[in-house]
Amino acid sequence: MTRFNLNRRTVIKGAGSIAIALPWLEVMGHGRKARAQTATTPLKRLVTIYQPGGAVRSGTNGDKYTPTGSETSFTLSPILAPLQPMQSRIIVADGFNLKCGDQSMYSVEQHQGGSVGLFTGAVQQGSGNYIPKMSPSIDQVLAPSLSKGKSYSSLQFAVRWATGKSHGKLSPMNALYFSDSGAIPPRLDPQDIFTTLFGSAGGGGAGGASGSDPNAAAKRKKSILDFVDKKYDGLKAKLGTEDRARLDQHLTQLRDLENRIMISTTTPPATGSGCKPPMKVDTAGYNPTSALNADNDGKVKDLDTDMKIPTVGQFMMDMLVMALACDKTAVISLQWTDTEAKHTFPWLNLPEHHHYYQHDGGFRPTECTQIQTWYSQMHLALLQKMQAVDMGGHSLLDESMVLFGSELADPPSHGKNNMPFLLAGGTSGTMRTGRWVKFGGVPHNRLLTTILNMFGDARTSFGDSRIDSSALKSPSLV
Amino acid sequence: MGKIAAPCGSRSAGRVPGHARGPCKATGVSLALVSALAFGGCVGNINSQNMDDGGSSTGSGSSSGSGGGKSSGSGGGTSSGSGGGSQSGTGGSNGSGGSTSGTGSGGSGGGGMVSGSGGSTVSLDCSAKAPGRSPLRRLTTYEYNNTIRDLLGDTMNPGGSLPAQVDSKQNLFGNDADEQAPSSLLVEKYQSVAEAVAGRATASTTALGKLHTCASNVTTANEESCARMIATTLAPRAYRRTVPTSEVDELVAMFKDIRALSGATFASSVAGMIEAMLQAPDFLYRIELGQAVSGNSTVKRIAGREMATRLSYLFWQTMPDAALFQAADGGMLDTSDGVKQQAQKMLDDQKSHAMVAFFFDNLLPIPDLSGLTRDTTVFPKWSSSIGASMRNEVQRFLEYEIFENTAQVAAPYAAGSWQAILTAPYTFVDKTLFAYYGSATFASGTNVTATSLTKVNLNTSQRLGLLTLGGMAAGSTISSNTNPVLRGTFVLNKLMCKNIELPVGFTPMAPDPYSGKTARERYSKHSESASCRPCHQFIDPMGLPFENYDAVGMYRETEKWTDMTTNMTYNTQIDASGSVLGVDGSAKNAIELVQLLAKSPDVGNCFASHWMRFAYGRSLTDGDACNQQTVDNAFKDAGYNIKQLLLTLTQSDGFLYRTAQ
Repeated sequence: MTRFNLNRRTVIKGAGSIAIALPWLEVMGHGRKARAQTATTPLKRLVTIYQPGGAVRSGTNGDKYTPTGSETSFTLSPILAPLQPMQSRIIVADGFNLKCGDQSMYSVEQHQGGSVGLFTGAVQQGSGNYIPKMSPSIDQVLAPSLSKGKSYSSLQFAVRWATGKSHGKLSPMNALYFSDSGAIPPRLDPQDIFTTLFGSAGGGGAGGASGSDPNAAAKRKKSILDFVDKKYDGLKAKLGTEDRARLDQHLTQLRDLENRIMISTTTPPATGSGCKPPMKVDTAGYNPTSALNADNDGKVKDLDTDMKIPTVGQFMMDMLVMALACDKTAVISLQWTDTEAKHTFPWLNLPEHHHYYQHDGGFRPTECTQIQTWYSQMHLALLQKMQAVDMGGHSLLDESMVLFGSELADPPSHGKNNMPFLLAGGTSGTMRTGRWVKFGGVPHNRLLTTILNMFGDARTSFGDSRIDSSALKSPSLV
Repeated sequence: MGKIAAPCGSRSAGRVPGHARGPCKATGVSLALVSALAFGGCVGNINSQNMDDGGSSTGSGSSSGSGGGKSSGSGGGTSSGSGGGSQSGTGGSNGSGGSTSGTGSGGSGGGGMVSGSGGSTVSLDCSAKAPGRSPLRRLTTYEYNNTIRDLLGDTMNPGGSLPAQVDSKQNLFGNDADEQAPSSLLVEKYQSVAEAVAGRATASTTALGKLHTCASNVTTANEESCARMIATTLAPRAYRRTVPTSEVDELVAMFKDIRALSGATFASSVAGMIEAMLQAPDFLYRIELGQAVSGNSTVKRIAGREMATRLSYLFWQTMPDAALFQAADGGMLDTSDGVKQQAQKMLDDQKSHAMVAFFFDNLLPIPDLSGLTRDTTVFPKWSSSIGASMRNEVQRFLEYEIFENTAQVAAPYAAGSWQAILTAPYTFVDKTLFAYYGSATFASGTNVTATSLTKVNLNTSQRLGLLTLGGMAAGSTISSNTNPVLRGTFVLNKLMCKNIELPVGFTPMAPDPYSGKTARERYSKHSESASCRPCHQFIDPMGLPFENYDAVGMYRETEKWTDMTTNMTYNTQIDASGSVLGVDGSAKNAIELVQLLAKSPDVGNCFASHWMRFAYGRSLTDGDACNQQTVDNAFKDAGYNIKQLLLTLTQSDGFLYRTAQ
């Protein structure tokens, strides 16, 4: 079902001097409550997508990112042009400044300040450090309510992750998502993700031979986890406050795991919905933890793995979409590499890594544009996949918000004004898409608060308290 | 070829593609920075800390010492650079993401705390037991692998399936207890890994027989009793403590429940018990209840098997073995002397060498050497196998000096001391490395034909000590060009435990490595500018002397550079002079610099503080003042001998005690 949005100007232009006697069709009125009494599909799911290295707006080739035209009638630039088939479903959100990563205000690292601040609005505690504890990212704030009763509170996937100086380890260079207690490691292995999400009942996995009865396997697991649960619970009583709190964190996760097993055994798969386990894709040659062998500069190349990035990316996106469609979670994210971005792009015939083209080899706008344009193609694929899933009268995209972001705006200078944010999804009433909106140079904390509000979280501020994070008024996302 | 933003005021600003000529951003210096700088330079920004503050960086940071550019604090300060050395400029081909930044405020203290005024010897009242924080520690992935190996004989390193560990900045060793918050993914993986390990441990009758002989020929009649015997044997080892019958009963009850399910076998049900044990908190975490200390309810003594666990994970990074459990059960770990004796034994065991190598792999910029590639047109002799050899060279040299050498080779420093390591006149090479370095690197008459690493004497007019070894030079260089700021901050941060905050108010730029002339000239701009000099006058003199060692660890007396306007190439004599913060005198090259460095009162204490963080598995706070005093004094008394330091660690309150639960 394609969305067809007429804007008022078009209608009025077309109508000329003829008085319109026909009813104002629902299709003509985005942003208004439709005359036909269909209830607005509420926003129920949040998808966050990260790509590194900002957007090419400077350099010898000029601005390749910013659209031209007006808010509702705009032409996509070369970098965003691949999204044209879904232009009516996106908002190009310009004019947000990542103040929490502003190096003239705070002692933050030029990339890391952006990565750890992107979804948290929090200020990095000095280069190499994280944000303060109790500075969750928006997805973690929303996960408990959005994913209530679902198998997974949230899921994080990453492709070709932790390159360069992070050497395969979780670090402020590659951590984007934060619970109250710290950075969350993403899932890296597409085969493992597939087995975990779509494998045999109870989450798959080898060993623990219990024959062919899937219920017995789940009961066995439950027996073991019950035992383990009691051990954590019982031990807590013997410990002091601090140690008890740490065991509690572990117990919380353990109970999530137990819950997941219970859900998978008692909840029949959603019928009549778009839930269809994705095709298992052969990703041989792709080493998900290739970065454990990384050198600082990205000189050690892993071409076998790099060549598989498009395939793995598509597979990850398919699994992401089906994890949502099968209602395993309502909060999910995909990270395309990390701020180091030290992998090559063989399918684009680019022999060097992304960071090289950002500035290590001197700013190369042509190559950066190529890379960013390819990311746009991936984003299109995701949106199209989401649109194709029927959730019962509306698409998965209709009931989701997809937020695309990067850790900086301008690759050579690491500037963080006018960050390249995109939003997508929703329907009339929840999000007014098909626009290029200029938010005028306000802190992106305001975007984060607004997103929380749009999902029903009523707070009036978010992130570092020194930064204005009041909800957006005008222009607005809705 | 890298082109980066030109430094403030440089004439080449504007001619560098992509960077418009514009006003120098250095004018935006914050007031706080200016006033801090007014005190004799950068001292206001240099923090010599007794604690690592996990909290927010507070801008310009507080002065923690007297001025005049001298050492501004007593030791035990923080290492705060990111791994592999740091650079305190941003930008360009020298890589982003590796900045120096201090964390937290200066060492202002709680009761009895020295707040770091110039190497003073304020004595603390340490009569009360003060172990410092005792956060709950979980096994690191490395420890997890070793423990599974020693518990069940499983050598598959299953920890590789666990999600990425957090790379913490304060604690360089991946075992910071405050950075171990369990994620949902981690707990999920503990379950699936336990399943796999338990499956392997019960995969055959032979495997089962290793758990207990009863399992070699089990019958339906004696299944339960055999399961009980397996649990009775395994649980105390898995939990690293005695296990009462009631707990064994619980395991057996679970065994029976699983056994009754359809499709279950004896093996799979035993596997269930193992899966459960491997996920239990008693296995994954180092639970410590401690023993009562008379007259003090705030601390507990660590003794028995809990002490066995501490000793074992410190010295061997794995669970205690049978002998250690026995010593524990026999009460031999209940006194400080007993602990020390046991520690000595463990240190003398070859297994401790891997632990020491692990420590240095994380302190020094050497882990990447094994895969390091360089531009082969510029460095045709380099290969990543040379890099691997250089890493082995450094590790073998350290191992030898610490564990084997008894001769004093670097007077006045004792054998096996950190200062001896910094100033030692020898190294280890094999035939390939010997040929790579060239004979001029070594004492005249040296020739190495062996394929294994052989001890050789250095040509001490070219090299002296750890910092001048090829691997250190190569490992502290990003890309083809040496960076004296990177190397200087390594010395400042990692070896002297001093932090310098990144300036707030403007974005510093690193000089273009291709803007001609030697590194000293290229970096001189930011050392001369009023906003850069205050800090760089301390950093650069500790990095520039190493300009005699290039990006591939070779010694050079001249630096080749190209004049970009005329395209002519020159070879300019390198000026390798420098000095060490807080030490009188100047050095005309690295040989002299490392000798000054060895004299610094900060170097020994800084080294000890890294070991404390490693041993305690956390960062240091105000509450560690007495621990630091104990360790620092004993280290000094032992002539900074490193083996003695490790033993001393076990005698500190932080090791013998914990805060009461």
